[in-house]
Amino acid sequence: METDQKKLPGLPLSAGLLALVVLVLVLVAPSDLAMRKHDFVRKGPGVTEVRMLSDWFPGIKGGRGDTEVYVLDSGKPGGSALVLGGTHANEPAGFLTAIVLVENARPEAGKLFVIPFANASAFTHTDYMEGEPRRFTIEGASGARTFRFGSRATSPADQWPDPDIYIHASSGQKLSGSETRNLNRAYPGRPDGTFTEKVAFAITSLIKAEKVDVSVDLHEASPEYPVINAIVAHERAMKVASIAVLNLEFDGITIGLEPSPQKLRGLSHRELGDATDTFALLMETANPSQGRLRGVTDEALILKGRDPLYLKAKALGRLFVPFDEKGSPVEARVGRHLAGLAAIFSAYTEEKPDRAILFSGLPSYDELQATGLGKLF
Amino acid sequence: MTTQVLLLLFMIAAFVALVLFAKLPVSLSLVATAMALPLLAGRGLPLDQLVEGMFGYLDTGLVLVTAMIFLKVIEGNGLLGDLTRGITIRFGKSPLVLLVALTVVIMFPGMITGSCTASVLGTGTLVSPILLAMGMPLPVVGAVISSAAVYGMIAPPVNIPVMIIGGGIDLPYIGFDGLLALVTFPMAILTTLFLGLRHVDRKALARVIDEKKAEPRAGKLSIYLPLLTCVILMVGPKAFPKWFPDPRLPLTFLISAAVGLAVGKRFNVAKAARDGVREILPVVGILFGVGMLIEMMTLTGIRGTIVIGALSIPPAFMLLGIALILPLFGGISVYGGASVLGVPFALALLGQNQIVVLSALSLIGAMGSYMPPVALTPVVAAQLIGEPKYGRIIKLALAPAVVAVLVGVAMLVWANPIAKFLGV
Ligand SMILES: [Zn+2]
Repeated sequence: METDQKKLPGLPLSAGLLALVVLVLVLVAPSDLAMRKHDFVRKGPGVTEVRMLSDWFPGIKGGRGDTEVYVLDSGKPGGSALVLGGTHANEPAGFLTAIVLVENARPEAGKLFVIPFANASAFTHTDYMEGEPRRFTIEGASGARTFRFGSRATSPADQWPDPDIYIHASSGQKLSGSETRNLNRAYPGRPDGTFTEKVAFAITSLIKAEKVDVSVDLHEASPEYPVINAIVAHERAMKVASIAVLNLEFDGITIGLEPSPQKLRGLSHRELGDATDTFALLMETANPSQGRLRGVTDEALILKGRDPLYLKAKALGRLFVPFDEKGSPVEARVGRHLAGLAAIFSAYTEEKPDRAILFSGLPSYDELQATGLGKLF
Repeated sequence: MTTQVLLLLFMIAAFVALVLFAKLPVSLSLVATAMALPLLAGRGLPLDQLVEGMFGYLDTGLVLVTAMIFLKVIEGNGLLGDLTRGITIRFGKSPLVLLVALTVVIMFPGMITGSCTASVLGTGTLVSPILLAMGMPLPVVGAVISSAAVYGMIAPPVNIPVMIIGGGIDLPYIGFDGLLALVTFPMAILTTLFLGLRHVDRKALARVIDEKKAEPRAGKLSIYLPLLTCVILMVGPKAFPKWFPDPRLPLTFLISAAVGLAVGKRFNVAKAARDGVREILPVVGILFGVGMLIEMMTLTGIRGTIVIGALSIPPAFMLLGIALILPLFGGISVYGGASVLGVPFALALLGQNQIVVLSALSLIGAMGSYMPPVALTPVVAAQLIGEPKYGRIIKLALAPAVVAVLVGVAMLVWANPIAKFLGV
């Protein structure tokens, strides 16, 4: 096979092609711009205040890294907690769980901060060459609710171009260049750093200023990834995490516990724990729609998590989680995150009763599987 | 046979038919095949995703275009000619030393940037006239440049496939430099000697040296400023990451080109830039098409079917599978192959020393640079030296590439003993 490099298109053909490209860009521009509008989040009964992340670091004010911080204050003494959803915008159970919290949780003791779209810029685009849908719809009790399915990283429109290698600022650790835009490699962040480092810095600042006792970063991972259906905990948070894991096991939810690796830098469970007094934790559930072994990529895969190719992978012994014909539906994943959060907060409250963090109004794992996610929206 | 397997067969047939029989350019054939896939799969024409796929290689495309402009500038202002003259006269006495030196020179931009294209377009341009002058036929020159460039891509300090796979299994890019250097430099040099040494015509070389000596020098030392600028902008950010801002490759080439306009001979700048862009545009077009095709392969489930097919190979044939499939996928994209297949393979080999495993996977995967339909390295090299048939370059490079894959497999088999022996 030889190239036809010498045959160059003439001027009319070039102009025609250029016009075609412009036409296509004009056609897709509206859906592209619409991705910039944050998904609707209802202010639930527990919400006492909606603030912006820039309140804790004015350096991101008015930019596309600024994002809503929902405050659920019980008005009663206790501790405070931060829940991060949407660190990675292609991990829907993470941000859906945060939205469920905002819309349904009633704080009983202490104060809860929830950021559903932690990397707001990552929601404005999808990853190149991944063939993912840009939105998915859940039939809710109050009508159909549409959510964006974004990218793992900050949009190149906000931070570009990537360096060849990403050097983590405080440790000098080297990672591939595209990780420069990964919020969960940017902690603790820098006030004068990249777009992503500024967002990370704002979150770190919030934790310091509000003396946040417990921070939980909600994620998902591909089913072939070794650390999954798991809690990753900073060493100071290990005791609380292990109590939570035991209680979850008691309720029939199998969950692994991993210590935050010392040498893996820039991640929330390492840096937030090192840079502040917070107990830093991260939770992972299994999301086939972000996996490398997935088959047909569409809305159904995001919501139902059923995939014949992952069934084959399971039979081949390639997965680290149970996987059957029922797949890994979003109800189960959100249910795990909600149960995990409840277990972590109650373990913390047992440990430090004067810094209690308690809330109600949320379904148990089994209730959620029975009613479905739509009931909550 | 699943829908995806049928789609995959259709995809291959359609692409080959469009290129060979309809004689469409490779880029347009890729675009047409990409658009047909979702239609056949009953997914309509997903415009958003098609456009998104086009942008998948935007950065690579920008590097190619700006590098080409830089090259045309240093060709025009006399830098290239003068440098070629200098190297030939200095090292010309011993072809062996000359070839070893030239191999490392070609590798350098790839080592620093992790991109073999940077090597081909960067120093490959400098070196190709010397290789030609030594008596090597055009395809041999292309093969020598391609091979050294591919090794430059995986040589330390920057090996992007290793970083991509490492990112997928949470392994930081630490401790790879020694092993990668130990593998790439000897293999790169041996490959150059294997390909080129027998073609060296000492008489022709001596004649060229005399001719070069007789030529008047192009001008003052200041004509080297653009090259110096380019090296500083490439090395600086890696050497002093704390305070040296990283201009990235496209800007590096543009700044260096601007410096080149200020020094040396005067020439028609607009024409030079236009020529550079025109020469590289077909390659950029191919990259756009590839991005669209991969996006549609993912959307329709073909990509996953390939990965699961690769992982279904029985353990006894696993290494054989890696040796065949990883380079094959490189025919679409080496980086893409590292992400899509490299990560699952690395997970399948978790019991072995990961530094050796990832280095080996990157070595095996890098050989995909020669694979059609994209065959980025030989295509760019052919474009650069004016070789009309890049297939000739691939034919020459094939045997050494097979050896490299075998070395990679040996590293996978004995990963733990190697790691113990070297202390990595
Ligand atoms: Zn994540």
